[in-house]
Amino acid sequence: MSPAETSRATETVPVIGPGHSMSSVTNKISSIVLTQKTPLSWYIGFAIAFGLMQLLLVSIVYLLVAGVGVWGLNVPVAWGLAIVNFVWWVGIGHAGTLISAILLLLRQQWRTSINRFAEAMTLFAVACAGLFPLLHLGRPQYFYWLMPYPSTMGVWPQFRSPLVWDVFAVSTYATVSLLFWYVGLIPDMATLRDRSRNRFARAIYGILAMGWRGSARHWRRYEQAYLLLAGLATPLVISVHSVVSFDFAVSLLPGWHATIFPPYFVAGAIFSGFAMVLTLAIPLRAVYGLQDFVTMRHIENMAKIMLVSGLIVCYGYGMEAFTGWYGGHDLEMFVMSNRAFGPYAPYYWALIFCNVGVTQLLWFKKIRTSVPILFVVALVANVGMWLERFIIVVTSLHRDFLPSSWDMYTPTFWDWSLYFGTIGLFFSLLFLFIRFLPMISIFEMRELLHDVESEGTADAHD
Amino acid sequence: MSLPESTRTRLNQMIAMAVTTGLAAGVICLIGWIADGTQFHRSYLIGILFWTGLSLGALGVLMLHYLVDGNWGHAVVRYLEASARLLPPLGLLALPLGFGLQEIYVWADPVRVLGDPLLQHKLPYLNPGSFVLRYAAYFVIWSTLAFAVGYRRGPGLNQVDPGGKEGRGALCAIGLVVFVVTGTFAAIDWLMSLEPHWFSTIYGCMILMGMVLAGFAFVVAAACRMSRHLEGIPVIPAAALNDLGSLLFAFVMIWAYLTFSQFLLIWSANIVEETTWYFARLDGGWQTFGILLAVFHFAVPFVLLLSRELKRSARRLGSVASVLVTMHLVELIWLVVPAFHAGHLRIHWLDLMAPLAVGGLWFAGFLWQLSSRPPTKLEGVPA
Amino acid sequence: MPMTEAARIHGVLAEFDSPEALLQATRKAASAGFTEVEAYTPYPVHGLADSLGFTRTGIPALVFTGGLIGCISGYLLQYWVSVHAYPINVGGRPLHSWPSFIPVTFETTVLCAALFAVLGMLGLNGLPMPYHPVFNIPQFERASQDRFFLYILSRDEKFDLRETRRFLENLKPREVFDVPE
Repeated sequence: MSPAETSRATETVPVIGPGHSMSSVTNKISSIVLTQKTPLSWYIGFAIAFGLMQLLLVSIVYLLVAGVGVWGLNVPVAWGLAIVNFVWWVGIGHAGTLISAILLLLRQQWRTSINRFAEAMTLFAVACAGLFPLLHLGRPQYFYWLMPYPSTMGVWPQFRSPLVWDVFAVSTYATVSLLFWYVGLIPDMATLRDRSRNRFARAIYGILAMGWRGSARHWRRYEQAYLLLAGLATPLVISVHSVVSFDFAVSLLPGWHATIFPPYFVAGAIFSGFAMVLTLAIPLRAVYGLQDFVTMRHIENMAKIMLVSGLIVCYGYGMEAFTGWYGGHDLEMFVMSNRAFGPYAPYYWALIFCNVGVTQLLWFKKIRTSVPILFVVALVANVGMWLERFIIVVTSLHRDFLPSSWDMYTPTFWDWSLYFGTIGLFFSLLFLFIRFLPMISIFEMRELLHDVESEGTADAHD
Repeated sequence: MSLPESTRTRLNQMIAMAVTTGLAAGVICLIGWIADGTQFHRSYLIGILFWTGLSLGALGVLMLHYLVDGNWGHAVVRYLEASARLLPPLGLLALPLGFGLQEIYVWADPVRVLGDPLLQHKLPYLNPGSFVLRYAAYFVIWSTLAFAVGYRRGPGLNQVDPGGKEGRGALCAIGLVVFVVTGTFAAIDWLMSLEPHWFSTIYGCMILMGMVLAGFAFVVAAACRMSRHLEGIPVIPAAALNDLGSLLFAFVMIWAYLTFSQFLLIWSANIVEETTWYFARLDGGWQTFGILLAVFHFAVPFVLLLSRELKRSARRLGSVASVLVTMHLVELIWLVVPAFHAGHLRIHWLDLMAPLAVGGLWFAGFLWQLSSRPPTKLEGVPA
Repeated sequence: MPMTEAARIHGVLAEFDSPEALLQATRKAASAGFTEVEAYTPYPVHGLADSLGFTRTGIPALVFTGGLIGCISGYLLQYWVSVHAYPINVGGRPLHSWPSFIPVTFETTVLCAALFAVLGMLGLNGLPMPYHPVFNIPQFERASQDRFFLYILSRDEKFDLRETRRFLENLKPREVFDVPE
């Protein structure tokens, strides 16, 4: 039974708007890159993002000159905003590869029009995430000490530490996501090469297309490799945020050492990732007139996934609170009450409002299908997930086992400037991606169009 | 819609056999009760939990199927329903446990609680009264869900109804939330509180996942066997088998992920309050159970289910699923018995007799449900 | 056909409008006895590779091998580093802390399998390949957009420029091109 039929039998809202042909799809998507006049909003957006990115550069330079003391870190809160932001960005970086991989395995056709830019979003978010632990090292120039290599010092990484696992997890994730994204791009590069009338662009796209001709044998290997990559990427996504959660949970600190952390972190990552995809997709489809490709069905499905992952996050909060009491451990109970009623209580209740409260709106179809409200809900979720990481990192550390070392943590200007700087980096990369690469997979849209048009004949191929 | 005479006769024979086995094993268990009440209750807990786990897991998968409207579920939906609909009788069969709470759970013994500050702290949650109340609530909720999600008003039993989809989707979404919450607390009540000092936040979803895996594996095994051997029950097409196998594969991975996460975190942190649970289960012979689980609950099914050819053969997929069901019993014994015999392997014959007694009756009910609501071909499902 | 002309011609290319037409043409070419046949499409067309007699890609075996290599070498690296090269006591944990080695082993498994999948796919496909004779045909640029091409190579034993051309023209393509070397 063909995938086309599956979706036909079960869904009524189309995954592609009516009246499109193979050449109109190709035209519409590739023209954004090749021929269309770049909209003014692109220039304005890119200018703002690029400006913010300069803030990042300034922050990094100042940090390298003056040292991590410019941040608000202290002992006991040695992990401040740097780690909060790392986890936040890595989390956002989870939706792209997951959307692409899991939905491919589940034969969900609605993935086609959102997978490309979701994957790009993953790469850029991981790039932003990777900056933080490196800069947090204090002496980032020695980052390569984290890798196992035969050094003259005779020193090797300590493989019982989750921080070393993290190096492997995040770098593997970045590599595999890049491969997955690039492999998906190859046939579209060939399209751009063949459509472009500019010699320079032709040469660049030609090099990137690596001589792709669309041979049937090549397609067969290509599809198989792509499917297997998806099969590998799916558990990889889960493992990466699990390893991030191990950074906390392997320790002995109350509020960090909880066995629920791996699945709860993964759910949080998916939640924030889908929130970010919606935050980006909603304005993009409006500016570039892509409502035919990113239809209401996509928007609603993403909202549903946000709801499911958000509920798992709520389950995590609930289990932490219940076990905090049930365990009967003084410190565990103290951490729980300190979160809710201690000095950072406003942040905690803001987080509960964002992630537990606002998320419940997604139960209603009216909200899921109302684009402006959904945009606000997604923004709130992004804020909520940032607050969650802030609460986890800061409240557990600032009241540790020794009351004599208790302290408060206040981020400084340079903490914030680095954070907003990475947002600038993220959006600069995203704007460049939109301008120079097809943000929707053209060949998959052609395939989708063919499947949807001729479901009768598509059946014969399977 | 109705089954051929030969199948009907065969099913009736099997039901009679199952009832006889169940009753005979039940009588032996009763003798065990008289001889050693403590042991009986502890073993009977295993018997009840094993089969409740299968039914509960089937209920979860059933709601998941209705919620996402996956094609994979059509081939096994009757089996899932047959299994989930046995939750009410299971609730009644569990009643004898009420007579022996003190012999199973330390916290149910007022004398032990008096001398233990931690148990006194937990008294508002862990006490016989609220335990029984919660137990009743779980079974009422699950039974209601089991019958509500399978309920059809308009079209016949064997039609996929596009009309009722929207309402049932919402019911199943809320039902799944309720399922996860009640399942978590049931796991804490019945299993985690066997060692009332110990706690783990992942425990509820880990246990629930084991039940979902086993409940689904049982249904797959049953569907594969019955569709091959009984006339009139439609053969499951290879593509559907492939999907069932893939879902089983995903469940195996998630179960292993949750189980290993708990182990790794407790092993690494090495705090005495937590490690006791694993010391009880990985010492004095119990480690063979741990290895058995790692090999046959994860490694072997994982490798086998990678193969597309295997997933497309009803016989072989059924065998893998049967192994997983068996391993669920091994897991349950490994979860329960070391709570009483920490660090030395000791399995009583009642530990196996009790699951057999409950199982005989359960299986008879399962077959009876299937013969009255047979898994014939659904109309409106693309082959 | 004189040798000189055959040497200059790499093959004959026929352009079709739809995947169905191409699929039919490919099957006819196979039943006519052509063995050196290629088909070019703007998206993967199911059944096309089969009709070219191409069924086993070798990719799954490659990926499995890659995964196995990554798994074993990842674990052995950690074992060797922690037990032999740099043994240190961390909180009394054993040098050979197998549970701690699982996450990294998993990552190296996935990494190697993914690298094998991508590099294997490119390698077996002979990519990157900057030059190919079919690129000489201007209309071929639509192979990456909305047209479907059948290509019979001159190294096919049955190849004869005029006969092959006529054969392709009979399949009712939009156009037939001679592709120079």
